[in-house]
Amino acid sequence: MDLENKVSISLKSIYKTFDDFTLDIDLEIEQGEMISLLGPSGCGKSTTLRIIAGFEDPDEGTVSINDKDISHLPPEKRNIGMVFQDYALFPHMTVYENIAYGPKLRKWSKKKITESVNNMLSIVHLKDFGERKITHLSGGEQQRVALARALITEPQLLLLDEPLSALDAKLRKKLRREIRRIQKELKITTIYVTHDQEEALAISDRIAVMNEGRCIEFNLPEVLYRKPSDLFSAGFLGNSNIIEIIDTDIENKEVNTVIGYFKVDYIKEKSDEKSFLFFRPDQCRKAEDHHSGNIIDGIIVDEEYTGSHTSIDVESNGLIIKALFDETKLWKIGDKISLHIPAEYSRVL
Amino acid sequence: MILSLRKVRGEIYLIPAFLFILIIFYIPLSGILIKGIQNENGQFSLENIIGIISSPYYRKTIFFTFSQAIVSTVFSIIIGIPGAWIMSHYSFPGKKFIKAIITIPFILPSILVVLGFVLFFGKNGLLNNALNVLGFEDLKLLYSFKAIIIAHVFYNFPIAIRIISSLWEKIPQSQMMAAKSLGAGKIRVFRTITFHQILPSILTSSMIIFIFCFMSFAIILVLGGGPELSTVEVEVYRLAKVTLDLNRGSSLALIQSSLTLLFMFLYSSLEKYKSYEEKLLTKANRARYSLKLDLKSFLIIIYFIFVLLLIVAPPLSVVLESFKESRSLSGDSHFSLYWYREIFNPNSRGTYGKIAFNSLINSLFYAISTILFTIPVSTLVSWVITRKKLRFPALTELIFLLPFGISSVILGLSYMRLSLMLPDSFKGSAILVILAHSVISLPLVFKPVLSIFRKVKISLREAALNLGASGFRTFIDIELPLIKSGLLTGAIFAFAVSIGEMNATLMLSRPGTTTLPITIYRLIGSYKFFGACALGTILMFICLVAFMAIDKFDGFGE
Repeated sequence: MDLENKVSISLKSIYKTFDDFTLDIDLEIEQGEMISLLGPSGCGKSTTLRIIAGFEDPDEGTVSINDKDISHLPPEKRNIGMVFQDYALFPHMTVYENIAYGPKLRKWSKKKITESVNNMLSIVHLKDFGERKITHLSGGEQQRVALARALITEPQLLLLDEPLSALDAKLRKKLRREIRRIQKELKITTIYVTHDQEEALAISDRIAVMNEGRCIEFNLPEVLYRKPSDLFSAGFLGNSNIIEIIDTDIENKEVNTVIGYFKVDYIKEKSDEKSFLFFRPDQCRKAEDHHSGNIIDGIIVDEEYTGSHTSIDVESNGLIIKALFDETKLWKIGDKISLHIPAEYSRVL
Repeated sequence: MILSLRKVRGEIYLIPAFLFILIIFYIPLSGILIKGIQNENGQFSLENIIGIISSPYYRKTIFFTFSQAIVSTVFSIIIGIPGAWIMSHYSFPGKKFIKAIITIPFILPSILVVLGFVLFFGKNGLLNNALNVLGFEDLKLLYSFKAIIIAHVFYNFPIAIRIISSLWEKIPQSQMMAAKSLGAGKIRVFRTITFHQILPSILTSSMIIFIFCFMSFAIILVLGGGPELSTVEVEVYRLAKVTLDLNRGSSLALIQSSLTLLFMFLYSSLEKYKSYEEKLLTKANRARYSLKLDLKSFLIIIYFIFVLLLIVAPPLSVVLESFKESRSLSGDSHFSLYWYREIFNPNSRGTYGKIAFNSLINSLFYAISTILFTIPVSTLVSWVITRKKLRFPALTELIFLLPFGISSVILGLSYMRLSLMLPDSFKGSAILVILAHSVISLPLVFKPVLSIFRKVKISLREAALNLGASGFRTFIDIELPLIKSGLLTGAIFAFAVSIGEMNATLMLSRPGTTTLPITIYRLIGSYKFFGACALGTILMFICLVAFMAIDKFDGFGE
C-alpha cells in the first residue's frame, strides 16, 4: 500500500460557533505530512487544534484519524501528542518524570520507560537533563522537554500550538529546524499552528491559510507564495502589491488599472466582489526598451538599503508600488523609474 | 457515557456545594431576615423595623455604632501612617522582628484582646501598678468609650501599616524626583504626588477597619461595660439571649446586615480602584534610609516603643498572669503552675480543670471538623469555577463569599431560630456549632483555595489529559500537588477562625459544647482571671503556631 498518499487525519465539515465568530473547516492531511495552520490571531487555528485534541467539542462534523472517527473520544483516549504554547510542563516533576508521565499511565515496564525516556532525551539533545527541575531550564530547553513528552508514547498525530512563540528570534530558527528534523526522523503526521508566515513557509509540507474561522487556501508553500489564488493569503504571506482593477478582459487575460494595462497569468472568477492585481515586490524588474505593456512609470519616493537587497517605493499615479532589487544603491529619491512586471508573475485575485 | 459526562455543564458539579451553603447559610439567614419584616402573627409588616428606627434608644445605638467605628478607624489610620512610612522607607536592625510583632493582633481572637486589656489597663493592672509606683493616680480606662477605641486601635492599626506600607514602597522614586526637578518642595511633593499615590491604600484600609469595628462584638460587650455603650451587634445579642425578643432581634439583624452588605459592596468597589492604581507602580523599592543619631531616628524609636507597648503588653499580661495563684480573696498572689496542672493532669482535676479541659477538647474537635467541612467545599467550588464553563462564574464566587458580609452574631441568631424548629437534641449540639464555624470561615478558606487554583494553568490539566490521564488521575497527579499550599493555608484559616470564634458560639453553645473562648469569657465574667489567663495562653499558643504555619506556606496569602 502506498503510505505516502494515505489520508491520515480528516476534519469533515467541522462547525463551531462562538459569541463573536464561527469556525467552519474541512481538512485532509496525509500520512507523515507536516502541515501548518497559518493565520492572524483569532482566525480559529488554535481552536481547530483544540478540537482535534478533544478539548473543544465541535457543534457539527467529525474528526477522523486513519478513517476512524474519534469525535466522541475524550482527550485522554485519543492518543494524540500535543505541545502547548506555554509548554505546560508539570512544575513539580523533574524533566525525567515529565517525559515518563505518559508511559507510566500506559503501564509500561520500568525498564522500557527508562530506555525510552533516555532515547527521547538524546533525540532532543537533552541527554543529562533528566534529573533537572523544570524551573531550572531555559525556554528552549523547556520546549524540547515538551516535545519529548509529547512524542514518547508514539502518538498517531502530533499537534504543536505556536510552540516557538515564547522564544527569541535566533532560537526560534534553530528550534524549528530541529522540530522538522525530528518530525522527518519519526515520520509523524504533524499539525503546526503559527501566525509567523516565515516559520510556516520554512517548516511545512503544506500550509493551510486561515482567516475568520475558515481555511482560505491549502497548498504547497511555494505555490502559496508564488501563485496564491486568494487575495487574503497573497497579502498575508510575504510582501505584496495589490492594485485595484478598473476593467477585465477575461479572454485575453488582460486587465486595466489606473497605472496601465497588464497581461496576467491568472484571473480568479468572482461574482460581484472587486478584483485586484497582485504581484510581489521581488518580481519587479527594471524595464528594458523592448518591453511593451506591464510597465509602471513612476518616481522613487523612498528607498531602503538592507544589505542583501534594496527596496524602493515608487509613486505612480497616486499609488505606491513596492519593488525589491538585488543590486545595491542604484537610485536616489526623486529619480524616475520604469518597472516591468512579467505577465507570468501577475495574478488577478 | 464518557461523552455525556464530558459535556455536563459546570453547574451540575456545584449542586452539592450549593446545597451545603443553602442549608448552612442562606436558609437560616433568610429565616431571620424574613422574620424581621413580619409582625407577631407572621404577616408582612414593617412595624418592628419602624419601631426600631423611631425608638430613641436604638437610634442612639445605631449612632454609637457608627461613631465608635469612625473614631476607631481615624485613630488606627493616624497611628498607622507613620508606621507605614517607616516600614516602607527605612531599613534597620530588628525590622523583621517588628514586622512579626505587628502581626500579633491579626492572630489574637478578640476575647484574648479583651482579657489582655482588662489585665493591663484594669484597676490592678500592670499599667496602673506601674503608675502607682511612679506616684501617679490610677487611670480609669476600662468600661468606657476610651477602652473600646484603644482596643479597636490595637486590633486595627497594624492593618493600616500593612496595607499602606505595601503600596508606599512601590511608588516609583522617579515620580518624586520629577516633581522635585520641576521645583516642588518637600511638602508640595507629598501633597501633590505621594498623597495621591497612597490614598487608595488609606481608603481600603479605612474601609476594612471600619467594617471590623462596625461588626465588633466581644470588645464592646465586655470593655463597653453595659447598655450605655452598646452597638447594634451587641444589641442583637442582648435581644436574643437576654431579653429573648427574637422578633425585634431579627428586625435589628436585618438592618445590621443591610448595612454590612452595603459596606462590603463599597469595599469591593474600592478594590478595583486599588488594582487599577497598582498597575502604575513598580515593584517594591529598596528601603532608602537607615537610622542615624538624629531627631528623626529618635522619634522613630519612640514610635516603636509606643507601638510595642500597645501591642505586646496586653497579650504578655495574659501569659504572666496565667502563672499566678492567689491564696486568699484579698489578692496576694504568687508564682504557680496550678492552672496548667488543673487542665492537663487528669488526677488532680477540679471543676475548673474539667470545664477547661473539656472546652479545649471541644475547641480542637470543632476546629478540625470545620476544616473537614470547608476544605472539600472550597476545593470543589474553586475547581469548577476555574476549570468548567459556568454561566455566572462571578455570581457563583459571590455566593460563597457572601457569608463574610454577615456578622457572626447574626449567624448565631439565625441558627438559634433554626434550632427552635429542630428536635431538642439539636439545641446547642456540636453539629450546629461546627456548621456555624464552617459558614464563618468558609469565605476565608475559599479565597486562598480559589486563588491557588487560578494560579495553576489550565494547560497543565490539558497536557495531562492529552498524555492519557483520566480526569481523576489528573487531579491527583497534577493539580493536587500544585494546590497543596493553598489548601493548607485555607485549612489553617478554618482552624484559626473556629478556635477563636466566640460570637456565634456564645449564642449556640450549651454547657456540653463550650469552647475555649466561651470558657474564657465566663471566667472573666466571674473575675477568675488567673484561670482565664491559663486558658488564654493555651489559645494564644495554638493561634501562634497556626499562623506561623500559614506564614511558612504562603506569607499570609495577601
